[in-house]
Parts: sequence; structure tokens; C-alpha cells
Amino acid sequence: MSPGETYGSAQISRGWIALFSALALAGAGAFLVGVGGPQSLRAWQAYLINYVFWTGLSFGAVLFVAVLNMTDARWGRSLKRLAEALGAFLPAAFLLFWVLYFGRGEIFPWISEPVPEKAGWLNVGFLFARNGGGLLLLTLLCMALIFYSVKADREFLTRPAVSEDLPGGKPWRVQRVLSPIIGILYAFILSLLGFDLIMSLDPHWYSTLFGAYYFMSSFYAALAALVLISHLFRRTHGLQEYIHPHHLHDLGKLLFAFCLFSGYLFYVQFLVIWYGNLPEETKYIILRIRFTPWEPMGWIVLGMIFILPFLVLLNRKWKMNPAVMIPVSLVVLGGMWLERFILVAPSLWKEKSLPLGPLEILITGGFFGIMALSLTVFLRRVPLLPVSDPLFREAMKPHAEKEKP
Amino acid sequence: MAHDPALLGIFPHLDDLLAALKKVKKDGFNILTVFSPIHFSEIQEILGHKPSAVRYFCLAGGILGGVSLVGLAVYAHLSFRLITSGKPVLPWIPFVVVFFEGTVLLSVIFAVAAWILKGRLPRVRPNPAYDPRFSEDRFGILVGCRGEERELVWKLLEEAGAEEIRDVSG
Repeated sequence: MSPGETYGSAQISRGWIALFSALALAGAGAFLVGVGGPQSLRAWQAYLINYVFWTGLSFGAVLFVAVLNMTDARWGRSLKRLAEALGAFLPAAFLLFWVLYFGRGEIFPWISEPVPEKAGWLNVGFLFARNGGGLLLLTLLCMALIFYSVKADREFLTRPAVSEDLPGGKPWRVQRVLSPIIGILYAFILSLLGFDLIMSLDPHWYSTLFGAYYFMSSFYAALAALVLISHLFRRTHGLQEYIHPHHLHDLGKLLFAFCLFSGYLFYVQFLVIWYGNLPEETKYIILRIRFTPWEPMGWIVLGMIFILPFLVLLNRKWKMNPAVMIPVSLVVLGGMWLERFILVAPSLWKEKSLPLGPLEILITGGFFGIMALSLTVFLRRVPLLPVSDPLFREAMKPHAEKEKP
Repeated sequence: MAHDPALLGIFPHLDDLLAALKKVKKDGFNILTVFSPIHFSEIQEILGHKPSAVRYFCLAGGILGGVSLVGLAVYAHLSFRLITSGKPVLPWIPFVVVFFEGTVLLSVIFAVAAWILKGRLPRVRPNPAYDPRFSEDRFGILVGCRGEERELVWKLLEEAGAEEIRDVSG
């Protein structure tokens, strides 16, 4: 393997960028109109649903890179840049977090109806300070990880002779140091987001596992997104030589494992609440699985994020087949979005109608536009493969070359 | 297990083994067996073997275990109708745990039993071509060859990346 082979950046036409920009603008417009209109709560809750969904997904994708680095994994090295591309959304996510400050009165019920015994934790200043600080720290670390990964590749492509002499070098060492820190902080800060931005919407209800459920299910969503873009980019950018069917098989197995684990984390909370049968705990579940308009949504979510992927991902050949995996990953992503919807909306929306219409679709389209725009702009500027990554190079070498002293 | 004269190629890398298998098969030589420390579906696909029937035993054990343990729980609950905290006599939510445990228990027992029976274990006299390294980190191909075929097979295995080749006879 030598530099100068097919290691260019992604060839994504300006038409796609224009489309994603238009989606982002349409979403922003719809949000502003919604917030200024009679149903501003719908706009704010749609914004919050999308915020927790897309931000969790983006952090989860960077966690995938960090885990690859921590475990010295060779198998998924060719997927590293695509996972980093999903993390390109994070600076936008940090800025979008502060928009929530302007809707705090509508979003957080504990502002209008304070809970005195929880006031030390549930107060506006402390909530935005701790979440803003946590997001800033984790975003900076994730950006540094991506920056050093990309920097090393650019140096490798421009000065291959120097880089060949320094396998890994400083950028690689920095990535090795940052990865475990990101892994630990991911668990803490995403737990915090789960507790503060979702669980606190029903301030009398609590589940100690909720934070773990949020960060693990976000990782599940990130894996589904990675499966989707791996299949898409493999086809459109001629990456078949680097992303083999067995890479896709392994990624499919990982998706299956986290389908089971997310389902398990849901069930362990559900079982304990059911068994304890305490009114202040059961009301959260009963509202979502017994009451109109949420009841059918609960079953749809269970089917989309657990039952269907569980049955499909049992099959080995299907895990390598794009005609199966692209729809399955879209179903999982759609299911995860609806799951965030059913966690957030019933706590805020008290009408009998389901708050799911053109406004929510446009705001979701806006967030999707920002994510897709970040991803495409990033991939147009950087090599599609982590060419300087020592483990990627190791994985791509023929065996005879690997054994050279 | 006696067999005709054969050559055993020992490979350190899976990729080389797979490439060698494809070449041996393409050239029409007789692959007697393949040794591998762990299961690889790719080997099975190249050889054209059907997947092992062990999985069907495992599935049958899983279904039997899950259903029978839930059946036992249902029988016990109906025999002693103790209503606790207003919960139904037959609560499906905790029965998921019972079903899961029963499924895992009998599927594992059936899989191990099927593995022993189908593999005809324990094998008193191992295959003469077996090398203890095949249970560690090496792969092997045993190719049957007679007369002038021997040279061709030797060359093929050598070029495919075998680190060691030796004659094995029944």
C-alpha cells in the first residue's frame, strides 16, 4: 500500500449540498414559525426530540472510533473516517443546545411548577451550566480526536516519505490518549443529558438506569447510521477493496449485539417498575403504553428497534446484503427517533391528538439537513480512508509484508 | 481414519488458507479435510458443505426449554393461585425471564450433546494428519494425491503460503 492510491476525499455533488442546505433552512424556518405560532410547545418539543436523537447519535459515532482505538481493533479501521464524519455534527450540536435556553419555560415543567426537594438540581442556571460545560468538554475532546486523525492523514498524503518513517507519530499517540477519556466522559455526559433533557420533563419520575439507557441506545443509533453510510459509500465511492463483506458482517453483528443490549436495558427498567408497582413509577410507563394517543406508538417502537432487527440480524448473509441492511438500518433509525419522541412528548403534550405532523417532519428534516451537511462537507475535505492510521495500514498489508522485521 | 497418500499444508494465516482452498478446489484435487482452531463460515462455503445440523438441535432445545419452563411456571401459578399486589395470576412480564433462562439452558445442553454425537467424540485415535497447533493458531489442509499429483499439490500449497508441508499416509 502506498500513498497516492485511491485515497481521495468523497465526490459529493454540490446538488446534494444544496439539498441539505435547503432542508436545514426549511427546518429552521418551520421552527421559527412554530415557536411564534399558537402551538409553540409542539415546535419546542420537536426541537428537543431531534436534539437528543441527533446529538446522541453523533457522540455515539465518535465513541465507535474511540473504542476502535482503545481496543487496537484492526477489523473496523476502514470504517473509521465514516464514523468520524458522523461526529462532524458535534460543533453544530453544541450551538443548538443553547437554543433550548430560549424555550426553557415551555420545555421544563419544573420551572412553572417547581419541585422544592429537587430544586438544588433542577434549576435553570445549574442545568444549563452543567450540561453546557459537559457538552463543551466532550465536543472539544471529540473534535481533537477527529482533528488529529485527519491531520495525520493529510500529512501522510503530502509528505509520505517522512510519514513512512514515523509510523503513528504524535497524532496517533494523541488519539490513543484521548480515546479512553472520551469513552469515560461519554458515559457520564450523555447520562447527564438523558437525566436532564428527557427524564426531568417528568420531574417526579426517576429511573437510575435511564442515563445508561440513553447513552447505550445512542450508540445503537450510531451503529445503525454507520451501517447505512458504509453500504452507501461502499457502493458509490468504490470502497469495496477496503470495506469487505466481512467488515459489514462484523458491523452487522455489532448492531445485533446493541439491539439486544438496548432491549435489555429497557426491559430491566420495565421489569423493576412493573414489579415494584409504585404509582409514582408506573404512571410513566402506563401513560406510554395504555393511554391515547401514545399506546400504538409504544408497540411500533418495540417492533422497529427490537423485534424486527432482532429477527433480521440473526441471518448471516442478510448482514452483508445492502438490499437488507439499508432498509433495516433506516427502520432502526426511524424507530430510535420515535423512541425519543415517546420519551419526550407524553411528558409535555396533554392533548388527545398525536403531535406528529408537518411541523415535526420539517423540524426533523432541518436537523437531518444539518447532520447531512456536516457529514458531506467533512468528507469532501478529508481522505475517505484513515490512510496514516498504523492499524489501518497493518490491516491492509499483505501477510508477507506484515512479518518483515 | 485411514486414507490414501496425502499432503498436509500448514498455514499461519486464514486469508492464505482460503486462497489455497479455492485454488486446490479449482484445480480439481481431492480435499480430504481442513483443520482450523475455530469455526469459519468461509471455509464451509468454499468446500460447499451444508451447515452443520448442530444448529437445528440447538434451535429445538431452545424452543423446548423456553416452552417447557414457561409451562412449568404456568402450571405452578395455576396450582397455587396466590394473588400478590393485584398482579395477574399468569403475568407475562416476568415470564420473559423464565422463557429466556429455559431457552438458554436447553439450547446449550442440546448443542453440546449434538456436537458430541455428530462429532463422534471422544475420538480415541485422532486423524493421523492432526497437529496440536490446529487447536492453537494454525490452519491445515489435507489434500489427497497420487503419483505425479504430489508434485503439483506440493507446489500449489507452497505458492499459496504454507509454512510447512508434509506427507501423510493412512
